[in-house]
Amino acid sequence: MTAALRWTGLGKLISFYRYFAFNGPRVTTASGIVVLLGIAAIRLYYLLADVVFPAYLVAYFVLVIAVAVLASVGMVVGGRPGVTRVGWALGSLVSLASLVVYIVGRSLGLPGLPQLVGRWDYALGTFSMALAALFLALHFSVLTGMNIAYPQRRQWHD
Amino acid sequence: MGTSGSACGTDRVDTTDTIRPELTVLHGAQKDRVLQRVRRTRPRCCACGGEDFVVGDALFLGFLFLDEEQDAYMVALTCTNPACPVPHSGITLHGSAFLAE
Amino acid sequence: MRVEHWVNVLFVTLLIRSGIEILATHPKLYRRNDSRPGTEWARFTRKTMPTDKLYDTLDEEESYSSIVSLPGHKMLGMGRHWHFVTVIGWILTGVAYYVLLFTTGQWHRYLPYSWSILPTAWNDILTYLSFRLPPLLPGEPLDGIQKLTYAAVIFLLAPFQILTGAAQSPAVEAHFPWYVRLWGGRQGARTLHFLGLVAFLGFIAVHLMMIGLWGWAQLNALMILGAVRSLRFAFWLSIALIVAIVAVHVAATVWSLKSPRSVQRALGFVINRGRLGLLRPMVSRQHYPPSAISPEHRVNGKPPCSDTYKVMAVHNFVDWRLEVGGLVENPVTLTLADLRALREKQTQRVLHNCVQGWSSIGEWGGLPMRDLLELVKPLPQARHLCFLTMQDNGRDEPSAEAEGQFYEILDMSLARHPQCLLAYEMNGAPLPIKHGAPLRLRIENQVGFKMAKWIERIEFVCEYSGIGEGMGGWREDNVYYDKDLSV
Repeated sequence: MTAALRWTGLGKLISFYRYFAFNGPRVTTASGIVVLLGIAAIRLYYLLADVVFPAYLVAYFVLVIAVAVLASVGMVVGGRPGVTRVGWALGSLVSLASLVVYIVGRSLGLPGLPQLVGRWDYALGTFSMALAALFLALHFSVLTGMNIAYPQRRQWHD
Repeated sequence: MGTSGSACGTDRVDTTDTIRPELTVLHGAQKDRVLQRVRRTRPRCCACGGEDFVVGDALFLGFLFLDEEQDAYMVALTCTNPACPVPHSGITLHGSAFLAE
Repeated sequence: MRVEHWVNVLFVTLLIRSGIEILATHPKLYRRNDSRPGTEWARFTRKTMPTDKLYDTLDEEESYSSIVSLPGHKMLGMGRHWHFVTVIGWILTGVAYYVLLFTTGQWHRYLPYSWSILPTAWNDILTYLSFRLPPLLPGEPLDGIQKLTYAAVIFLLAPFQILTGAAQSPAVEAHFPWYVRLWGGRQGARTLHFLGLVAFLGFIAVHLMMIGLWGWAQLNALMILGAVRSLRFAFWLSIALIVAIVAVHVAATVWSLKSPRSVQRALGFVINRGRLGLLRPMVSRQHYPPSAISPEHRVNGKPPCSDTYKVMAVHNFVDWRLEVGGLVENPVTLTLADLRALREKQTQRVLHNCVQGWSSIGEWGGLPMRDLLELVKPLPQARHLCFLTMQDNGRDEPSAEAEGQFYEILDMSLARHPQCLLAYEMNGAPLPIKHGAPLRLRIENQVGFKMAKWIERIEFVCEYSGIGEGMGGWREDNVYYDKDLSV
């Protein structure tokens, strides 16, 4: 394993990554919530736009909105680490789903929406992908210890 | 454990207004325990050869000084010989040896 | 102006690498002046400190690679020299650039003068997000968002970095306490300066990506030759310029690592002209309120690990003597009681700036140096004071770069400053051992290590070239700092 890390340069990258640590639990959680609500807001915009979507896609948009809002609430409610961890996990789930669905839709097509194939030139879609990637990166940083999320506190005793 | 000589000077009286915060003021029983330890080793004053000392305050060394063990204290000793040219010295002891109530 | 672009590339990259070296010496960022351990909002280190032994900020110093820092490997003295000499060059270049920009009318290119730039820039962002290139502004080689970004970098970000940098100078902070408060305090300024660094890195990354997207050869032809022509020549010339800039970086790094003394002398010669002219006249006039005092004042340097010192300490330093001699009419030997009796104690609540970047606010009480000068009456040829301490770096400081007795040289002119103090008290109590008991120097428009601790002798001298390595202090000798540290 160490040999693989060394040869691929991944070991150096991991070592470099471990030099960074931040102590902003409220800022981290607030940023995550803002990103999730951004993802939800974009789906809400789709629902309210003057476009007719297939029923399954409408259900998907509603689910994304609901899970994103639920995840946001879970990330702050009660101050219990177990609940907030579930909130973050839900947030990553909805971010990953939105990313995958968008990429699949634009590359392979979605049932009833073949006209989406190759249509990458959609600013809101690109922005939505960026938000999803940002949340996944943020959660990764929390899981790996670079960041901490509310209600955790840093134990930097020195 | 050991006895150390003082730097210089002949002042016997602490002329500063306040005891510095790093020092622990010892009470009777603690001072007695220190004296017992001192007498066990029968030290002599480096300056005058005297064998009697008065015990003063203690300085916790373990945190501030890298070369000291964790529980080390320096306890102030003053030679009782009024003619001693260098009366101030000290002894390094473990806190457990004299601080216990 | 096209030449200045490439000069700027060199300067900005030197500032970034040397700035990272400066960050490495205390790779922690705080919100408040106290720099209280454990309260930092960011760390760039994997080191952890002991809880059962005194540690200082020398122990916390990181050694970064020469790839990211100039020169790397824990050489703060070198990093500071490169940073400050480059700042001088960058400011001069910037001033010349501003003058040229406005006298040639080129400012139209970068400074928006209509609010319509905002919706245009917004549309450009949407176009980029659609993976398409937006239209250029009429008659300009830029689109709207690029114009706004260049304006922000030239007229906001660059001055911001200079202003937040200045707010970290002990001399500026001491003379204009309101100025450092403007930026949220010393640590606020440091954090903002770091965020400016991140902004510059972000700008450079996006800038290079844009040039690649729009046409490297064409845009470099425009930047170097002034017109889109001779594309192959322009391409290779741009590569040659980049290689030359990299070569300067490599040369600066190798020179610093192999011959730091010569770098210290050469760059210090330039930097000190600026320091002595601009910053030395800034006398400290700080009066922080009692509520600002840091609950836990940071420490640098470890107390003397000698039996002599420990015995003095346990006897409350009644046996300690301060010897003052050299080129004076009246050499004296003083006890702590003598020092206290010379005059009523002067107290000052001031911001302490360590050269490593942390800060704390403390109240110091003691004898003004002016009063000691009045007592000993320096001879006319006495120009410096040499403070000799009881600290031996080889014995007492494992993180020190070298061994030997710690000493510092102070110019006579600084000794006459009203807030130049021989401090025997801190925060209303006897000066603690870890802060230099029984006596330390305070000179508030200089960085912390000039303020010698654990003093045992003050010698008045006419010159210091024969003391130690002759650079004006132990840190100057061994870490290659300049003697004057008003920044």
